[in-house]
Amino acid sequence: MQYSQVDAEAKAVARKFDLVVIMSTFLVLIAGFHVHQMLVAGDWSFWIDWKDRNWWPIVAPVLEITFPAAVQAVLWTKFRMPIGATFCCLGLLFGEWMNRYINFWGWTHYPLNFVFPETFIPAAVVLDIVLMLTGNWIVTALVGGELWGWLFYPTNWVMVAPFHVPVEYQGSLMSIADVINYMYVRTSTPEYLRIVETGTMRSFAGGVTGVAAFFSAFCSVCMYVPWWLMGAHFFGSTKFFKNYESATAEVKNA
Amino acid sequence: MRKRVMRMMGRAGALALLGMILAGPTNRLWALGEKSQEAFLRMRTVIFYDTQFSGRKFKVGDEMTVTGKFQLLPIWPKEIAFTGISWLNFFVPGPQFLRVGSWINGRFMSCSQLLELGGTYEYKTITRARYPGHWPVGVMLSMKDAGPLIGPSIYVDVDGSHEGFTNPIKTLLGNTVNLEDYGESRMLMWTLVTTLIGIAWLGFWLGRPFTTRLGVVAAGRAKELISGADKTVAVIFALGTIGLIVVANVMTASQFPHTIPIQETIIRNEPLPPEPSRVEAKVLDATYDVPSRTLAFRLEVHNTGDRPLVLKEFTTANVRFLNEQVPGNAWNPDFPEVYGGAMKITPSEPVAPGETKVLEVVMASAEWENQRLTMYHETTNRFGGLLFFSDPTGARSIIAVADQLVIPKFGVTQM
Repeated sequence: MQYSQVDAEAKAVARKFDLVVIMSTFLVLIAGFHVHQMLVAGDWSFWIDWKDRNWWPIVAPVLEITFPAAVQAVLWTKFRMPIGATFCCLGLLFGEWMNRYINFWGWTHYPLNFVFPETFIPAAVVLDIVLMLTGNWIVTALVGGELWGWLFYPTNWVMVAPFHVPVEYQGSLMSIADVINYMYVRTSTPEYLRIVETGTMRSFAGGVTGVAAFFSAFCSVCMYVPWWLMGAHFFGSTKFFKNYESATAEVKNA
Repeated sequence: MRKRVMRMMGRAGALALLGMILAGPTNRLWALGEKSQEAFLRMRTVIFYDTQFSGRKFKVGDEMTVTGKFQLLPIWPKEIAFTGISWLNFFVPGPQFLRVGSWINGRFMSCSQLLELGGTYEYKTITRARYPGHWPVGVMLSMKDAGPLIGPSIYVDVDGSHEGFTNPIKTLLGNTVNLEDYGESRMLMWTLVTTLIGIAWLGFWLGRPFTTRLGVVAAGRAKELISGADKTVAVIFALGTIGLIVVANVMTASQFPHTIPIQETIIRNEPLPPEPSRVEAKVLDATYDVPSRTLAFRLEVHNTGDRPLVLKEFTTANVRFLNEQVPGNAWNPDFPEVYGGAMKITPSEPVAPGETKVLEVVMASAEWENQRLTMYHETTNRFGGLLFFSDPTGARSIIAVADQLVIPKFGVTQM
């Protein structure tokens, strides 16, 4: 058998192995990240009337930078692949859409415009690129984490803006998001459970979005660090794989 | 071999069954869950009465009106927080009905309301059928820190088809939008555009060998894996993505120049003025006979009016007991409450004006057990509810009782 033929077959097998590894990882990430997201950011992601300008831009990015940081730690340090955050966020979006489409719309008939998920993908691509260009996870935490927080609200405002158009309903001033919440009965979530613009972060003539985004970016930086370290130390272990130097030393000592 | 085939067939069958269950139509719900709440919670917090549903059969698009009253009992159990922050909810399994509006004491309830302990409130809820099916529907008062307090419910049948159903609403900008799919295509398009950016970035990297890079990195040759061209592409991706977001936001601002934040607040709602009462009543003692499922209590009644009074009804936790010795005081199958049965009162003669006497009230009913209202299992074995007295003109006097201890009687036990 020719060497080139063996080489070609080895490459083909390696690609198939790649596919299995990538697909398995993708499914695991969908499961893990989606559960994490539902538990920690749940209502802020589910409902259009929770997507406010104060808490949503804080809660969602701060709690969702976790998995991207951890997966980046593995894929960058072990594979030099700057795709960790994008890989995670595509998985999350896929999982969320399955949930919204099958459960919320298919089973219980909530309209999709009430329950659509937010997207992190543009911020994730930027986070990956910052890591790639700087090659340094601390700089990525500082710069990428900031951009992650800042980009979240404008990325999603494009989809959310139509739902903030004002309506007079039964003599009350409401946004369209409020009216959807009111009309499409959500028995388990009474109105007083919504957390909308409470707190004292009010400044800049009443605009809270900028303050929220700033705070979100700061917290995202802080969250990135422990999750990177967790990813690197708990999931990035390659004890089974000897590095070049130790393998060479073993051969010499044999 | 045969066992293996059987096992595989069994698994395939189970999977098929699970699939059928999951894919099956969801137009029926068999239980509401109100019995899961503790008896003292349901008997001593909020009592709904005079509830009326405008019908039990509807077509998609039809409106249903629910009216009635509720009283927040003056002696609220100390185990349950009382904040007064309330939301009159409508329960239905998902938005099979749309809430057109809810009013408490005639005040539109767009947000939570602050209600008073001991207050009586009148409510109205209008809903519109949205999906066909056999649905349990009812009212409930959600109260902050206390949770959902469930009111009367019925099953309704909705015929027709959801196909073509619209929910138009006029905005303050003058245009009319259909809430069933408003903003949906825009949302889907933007989600698709941003997702394609992610897929393109992922495809750019996953088009290369993946797992073999592990070895290259471990060999200390990581720098070889990223070229200058890769960095150029990355910069284009980053700047392009940020630029796209900026442009999209500028366009959004011009398309929607007038937007408002999400609205929320809490408004105070005064209770109805107290109805004139012609009676004073207090429970002296109460027992619950476990084998015969009988609640009995002695009631000291003083008639302060100028007409004779009879005790016609006791209502608690959406169960009604009627004094059927009073002519015309019979059960009506249209009542949304549960029929508890007859309430026997001794002596049965009316309480004369100015008279004070002690009535023995006995209610033997399987519903004490069916509704999980037995009063010997809980940390707070007290009962509560509303007593309805009536004079010959039909004028009612409603008395709340909420703090009487109940002594259980277990019967003879064979040792």
